[in-house]
Amino acid sequence: MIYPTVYLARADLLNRLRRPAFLFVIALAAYASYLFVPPATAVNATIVIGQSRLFYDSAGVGFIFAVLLTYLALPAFFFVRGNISQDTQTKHGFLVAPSRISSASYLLGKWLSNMGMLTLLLLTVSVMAIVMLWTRGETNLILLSHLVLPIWLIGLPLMSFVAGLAILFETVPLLRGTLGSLVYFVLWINGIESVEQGSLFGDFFTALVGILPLFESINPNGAGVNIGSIFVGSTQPFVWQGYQWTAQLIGARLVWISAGLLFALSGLAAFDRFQRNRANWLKQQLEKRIINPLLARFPKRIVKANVQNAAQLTPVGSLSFLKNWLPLIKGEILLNLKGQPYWWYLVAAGCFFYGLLPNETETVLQIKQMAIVPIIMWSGVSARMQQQVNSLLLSAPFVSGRHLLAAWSGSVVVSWLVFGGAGLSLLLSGQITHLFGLIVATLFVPAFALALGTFMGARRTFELVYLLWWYLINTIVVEAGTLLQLGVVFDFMSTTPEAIVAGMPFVYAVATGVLLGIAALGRIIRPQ
Amino acid sequence: MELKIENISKRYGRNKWGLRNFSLTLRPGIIGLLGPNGAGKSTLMNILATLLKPTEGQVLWNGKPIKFQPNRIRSVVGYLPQDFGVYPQLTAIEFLRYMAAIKGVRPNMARRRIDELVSLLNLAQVAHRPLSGYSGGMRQRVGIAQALLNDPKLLIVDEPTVGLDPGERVRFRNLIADLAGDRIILLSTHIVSDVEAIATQIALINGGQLLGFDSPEAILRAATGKVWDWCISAERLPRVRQQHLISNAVRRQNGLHVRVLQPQAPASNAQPARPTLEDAYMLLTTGGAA
Repeated sequence: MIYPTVYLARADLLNRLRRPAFLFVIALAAYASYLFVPPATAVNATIVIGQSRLFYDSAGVGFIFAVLLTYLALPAFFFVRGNISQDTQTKHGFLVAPSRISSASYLLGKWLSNMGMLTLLLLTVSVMAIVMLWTRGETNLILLSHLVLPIWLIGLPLMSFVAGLAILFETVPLLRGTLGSLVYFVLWINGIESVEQGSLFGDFFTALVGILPLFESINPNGAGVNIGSIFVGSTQPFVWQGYQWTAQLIGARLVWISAGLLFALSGLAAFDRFQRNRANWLKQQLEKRIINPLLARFPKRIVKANVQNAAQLTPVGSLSFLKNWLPLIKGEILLNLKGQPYWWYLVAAGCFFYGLLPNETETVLQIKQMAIVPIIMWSGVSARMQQQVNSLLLSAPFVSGRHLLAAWSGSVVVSWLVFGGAGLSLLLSGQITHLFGLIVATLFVPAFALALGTFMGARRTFELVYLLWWYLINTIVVEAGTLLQLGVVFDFMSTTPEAIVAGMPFVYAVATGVLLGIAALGRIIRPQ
Repeated sequence: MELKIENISKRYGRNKWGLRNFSLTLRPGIIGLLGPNGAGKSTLMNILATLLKPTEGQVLWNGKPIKFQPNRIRSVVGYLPQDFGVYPQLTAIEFLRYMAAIKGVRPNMARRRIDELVSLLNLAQVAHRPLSGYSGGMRQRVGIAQALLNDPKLLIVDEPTVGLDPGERVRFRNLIADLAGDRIILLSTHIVSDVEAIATQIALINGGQLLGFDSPEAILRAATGKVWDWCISAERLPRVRQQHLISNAVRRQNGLHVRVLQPQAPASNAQPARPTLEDAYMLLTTGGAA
């Protein structure tokens, strides 16, 4: 069992390490580490104890990086997920399925590969902690037990859990796609938020992250630990002596690593070993008993031609690109609509009718919440930009711009199947500026998905960025100070009066054009 | 109508050349492109389909370089790559309508043309099923149909018969033969018998370079007198393989008949044999023709 598992993990890890995306994520983690430790002379700090920022010594910087890891748990999941789906796409899974490797060994190998990726992430963060202490520290003394140990004792169990959860989500059919991304995002957000509220999930998350003892140690008088970009001016920094890790605490942290492994292995209950029929059982039953009988009532057009040889084919004549706009957009609408999970159609229809409800003051709030629903369709648009079918498309004349605009238009049209009801409500209630904001939003997000997809390809990137963005506009716009400004800038739906006053609909309308231009440029300069 | 390939080279990375100083002039007819794996066939086809840009040299369509006006050639090209994706959730009809719109085929004409192609390629029974449920052969036929949607003057097909059963292969060969006429058809395949059956000219390519471009008869002539039928015992085969170039070995009641490719008879009991295109291909790509 050991050799196949180790070799599987090694091959999987090597395959992923050689992709440009790996370097991109590592660079991103390094940049986040850099941002988390602003200069000692800066008026804003990322972590504030009471009214003061932390003194930049080994203990202080170590604490900052331990907190950073709880945030990195979000992109880390998107970083590692997909290694089982990839085996389905590349058909490697069909070689694994009849082999002697057990399902447990396979999942264990995949978990180990995930752990390898995340360990490299932790290594990057550790190196950055040393670099940041060296460049921005207020003391030359580097104590690894205070600086690096918290990163690994907090990070390794947390990343083990992330690695395990990524495997579990890959095995459960419902959680493999965008819904899985959404569920993880909700878990992560709730985990972060409920730590403060002391809920049951908060207790679990706190124990998992293991950061509570550090919080209690740094804040014994309950002055409060605030995280964000917080104004501290020139107040005296808070000097923390660091946390003394006992053998018992270290042991407890290490036990959490095995919890991650257990999560990965719990995927055995749902793992189909690449037998797609088993995975789609529910869908098959639904189609067999409900969908297909329903569709059979609408007979398909019979192909009438009876051509025996190629010489009988009708000559096509001249080509027309202008007359093909509608068929092209229709094709893109079909691509957006077909193949989505059945529950999504219900939710989308629900959103349409929910938006129609006479609720003048609440409509804008509804729109903000609904904006999560089309993510599954938008991320599909993003992914299609680099699919293999493009080798057929790109040899067609004048295709780059036409295809891009058609893909964008199709996505905009389908977006309105979700927002149409709310849009109508805004129109009837005379909230024209908000309606304008909504129109711009439905133009902007597909353009953003297309631009990201042209360069990144994978749907996960769009999902991660959009989920964070959506969360941002649903939370921080209601707060004051710099966060309000941030909320206004990021409010692509122009849901607040401040965003409308600031002219954000026009800003995002221009951004839409710019993003489409970037996507077109990406098509032109694609690697050749 | 003429497609001229002038000294094109394609470099991948720093030192790896997919094509090197490749020149060829193609006129209407079926041109078989033969070469071993990694010879540069797909690179050449991707350049002609404007999916790749050559590092050096140029391609001219009717005397005009396609580098500055790629849409000139894209309007007349039909391309079936070796590996292509489809949108699995669409049916064949929906996918072909989408591809027809991409290629600029007028909607009314597209409808008619799709019906004809679906009928011709024996897809009518499954035309309204999602492509996700298609077998490899059915999917390949959809690929062929999309390549023919715009009535191409230049048809480029890369390994088109992969995944097709023998009956479908014959149908496809007939289809290509019927399409020939006022068209340039560039057909790349490993299956020499496919080329032998329909190609009017054959381009042999290896290591990114053109080894020869001639009619099948002329290429066959290059192998005349260099093919021997030699009956040996089965135990001798490994040793004979080490010493001679062998294109085929068939078991018969009187022993193992091997086809040896070399100018001189390998043994006194070896009989001269009539060369096939496969023999000529082996001789030319391994340097045995010299």
